[in-house]
Amino acid sequence: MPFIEDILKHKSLSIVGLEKNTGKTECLNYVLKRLKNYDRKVALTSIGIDGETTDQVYQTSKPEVMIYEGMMFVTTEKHYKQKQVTAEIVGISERSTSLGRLVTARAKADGKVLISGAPDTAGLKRMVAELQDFGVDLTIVDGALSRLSLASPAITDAMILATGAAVSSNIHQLVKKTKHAVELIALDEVETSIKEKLAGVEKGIWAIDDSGEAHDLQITSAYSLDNVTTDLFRYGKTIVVFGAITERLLAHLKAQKNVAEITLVARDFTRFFAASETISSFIKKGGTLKVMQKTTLVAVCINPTSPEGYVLNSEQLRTEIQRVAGVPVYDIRKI
Amino acid sequence: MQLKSLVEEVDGLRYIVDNLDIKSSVGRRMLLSSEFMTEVRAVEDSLNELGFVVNIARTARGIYEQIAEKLIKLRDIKGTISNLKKGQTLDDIELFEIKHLALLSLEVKELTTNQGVFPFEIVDLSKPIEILDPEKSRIPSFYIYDSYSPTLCTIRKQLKAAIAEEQHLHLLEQMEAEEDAIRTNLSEMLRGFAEQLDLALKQLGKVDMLIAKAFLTIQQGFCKPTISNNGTSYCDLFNPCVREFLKQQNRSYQPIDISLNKEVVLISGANMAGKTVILKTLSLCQHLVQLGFFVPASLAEVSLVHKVMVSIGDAQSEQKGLSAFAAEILGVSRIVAEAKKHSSMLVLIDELARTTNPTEGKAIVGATANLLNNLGITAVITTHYSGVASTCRKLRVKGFVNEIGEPLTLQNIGSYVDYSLTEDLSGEAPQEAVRIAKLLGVDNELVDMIIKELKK
Repeated sequence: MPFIEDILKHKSLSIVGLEKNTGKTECLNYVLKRLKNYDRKVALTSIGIDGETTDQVYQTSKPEVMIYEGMMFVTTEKHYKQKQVTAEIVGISERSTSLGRLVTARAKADGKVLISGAPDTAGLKRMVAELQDFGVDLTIVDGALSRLSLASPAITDAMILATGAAVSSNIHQLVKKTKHAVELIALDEVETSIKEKLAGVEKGIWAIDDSGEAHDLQITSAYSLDNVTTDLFRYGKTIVVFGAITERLLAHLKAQKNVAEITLVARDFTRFFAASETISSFIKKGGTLKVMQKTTLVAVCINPTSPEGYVLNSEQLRTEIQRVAGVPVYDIRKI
Repeated sequence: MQLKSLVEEVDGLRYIVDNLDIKSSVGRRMLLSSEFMTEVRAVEDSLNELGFVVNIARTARGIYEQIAEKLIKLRDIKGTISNLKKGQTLDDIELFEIKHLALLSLEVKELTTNQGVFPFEIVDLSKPIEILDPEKSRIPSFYIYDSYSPTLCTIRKQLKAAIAEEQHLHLLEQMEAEEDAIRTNLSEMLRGFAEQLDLALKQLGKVDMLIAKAFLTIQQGFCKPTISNNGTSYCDLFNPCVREFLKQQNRSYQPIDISLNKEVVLISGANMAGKTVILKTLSLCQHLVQLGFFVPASLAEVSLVHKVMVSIGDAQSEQKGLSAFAAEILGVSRIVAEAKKHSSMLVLIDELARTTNPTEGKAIVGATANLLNNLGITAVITTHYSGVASTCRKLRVKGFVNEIGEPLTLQNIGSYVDYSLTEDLSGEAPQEAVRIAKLLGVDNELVDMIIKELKK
């Protein structure tokens, strides 16, 4: 049973797809099925509205998640009512999402559920903490990598990345994109002192000076950086951006003479929206990228079938991604 | 009028609401829907309830802290209770909510047994708990338990053993049908307790609100007012928000004594003598009492009114395009019209006719004061003008003390003002503007010229 032992070392795990239809749910079902044989209290939740019965883009049917007796799950009221399993409600959130409040329940038998969850990072964090209060050893988050999602799966300790033909039907392209994502996930976390200095801050652009002090640069986001002559470096060469890392911001940074002295810190790896070429070029010129919150990648799962029905060679794909990923790569259907 | 809308209108009320540590949305809803009461009986009942809780909070705060801690879990389920009353079949989430409420209410009730912790008894919800907790676990969780029906129990066993997809689906359908029948049955049994559940929700919300009010009363040093027909008087009256502001600057607040007796009182005093604060505090206190709060004073006797009407200059009406004077005089006219309808009012007017010339201004003050006085209205009007022709009672802020040991600045000037009120028999407003100007170090030549001008 590959990588389940690795997962059990962590208290929280997110499973994210690089694109829709990369086999994330299949991977999730595999993990849950394996976990039921371990004597651990497992809980399942999700980010935002991910977990619709039909995929919103391709209209392909999205399998419900199979959970097992004793496991806990958190989902919205709407999806709770559609469950096909006997479950005991243990809590209901006070705040409501677009699909109703969040219901926390314990499965009294094996069966299928639709999972949806907190729409923002703070809510997700709170939920993971609350589940730990219920005695849960491992919380699994059905995650999303989308700029539309306000909640970041990077708050979990560990992560499984699902990738596959849905990303690109060209193996070379697919491997390149996957490699890029894996590299971003692997970015180093900033020093604890900086994390402490910026604890509680959730937006804006900040600079860290040589003595480690944080200064608010009074810029709401990289999108409002309309006048790039604003001196970003008036306090120091380490810039922390809580919002999106845009193409323009990175292009501006890599054009600086002192690019090799610049450290750009993102909230987490999901905040990079610049082209992979721009990011690589910034690093090649000596720039440093870091994140405030890092998660550990434990495995990559591949789905060689695209939603249009195109099938790549599973073994070739697995080997090629294995070469660049640095973590075990599996085709769930082949284990 | 409810607190909800008054909080936007009455100066200082927001500070009180913001300083109440209410734990639940039910408690907040109760607080914000507090009515401005005009019946003596209603106000007294409300104050007595709060008094009861304040007294216990002084000696045994711990019990309330324990209860408040539990109330964090209180959820507002009035929608669910209303569905129950309407005869709907409740779903698992709603049944869970009811069980959750019933268990919470029981926990609070158990904490309050054998001691008068609240001036009312928490309703007994052991019957609904019995219905929703067949396994007697007392844990706030819920599902359609096997023990509700032997049929359900059998279906669930078969379901666990079922392997074929078709059989599985068939059993799932059977299970759902049986569960639905049980839900209908449970909802019917619970319907008889809908009123009690409603009461429990209201009681817990009220408990939350009362505890928060009692803690604030003690922390701020508020006192219980006596409701009287013989006018309003306060000893050591203070404005909580202004006191807090001064405290942050290491300055202290000087409380004042004041009494009003169905008459108009004219208050004169130098600039910076706190006349506006007196009016704002009087308005705040009248609202607090009639909303069921204690008041910021050491002793208070309060006559209830139907309405508090205030005219305190602000920029708002001026922004609407009216001149300052037009806005003010129209406001005063509205007050007079209202006063002619019912005399039980508290009228507070700051610096009446301040925006026009002194000759006419003086006449406006005198006429307004006399008119309201003849109507038997309780009113306080502050003024700058000397020699207002009115037979009304006059008070004066004592103002600057004689001994000032250091150069005056805007920062220390407050420490040299005696804010207390004294009966003013002369009717002459204190001529302190020149003295203040001098003390503040205003240009000598200018001060000399002002003095010369005065002597003419």
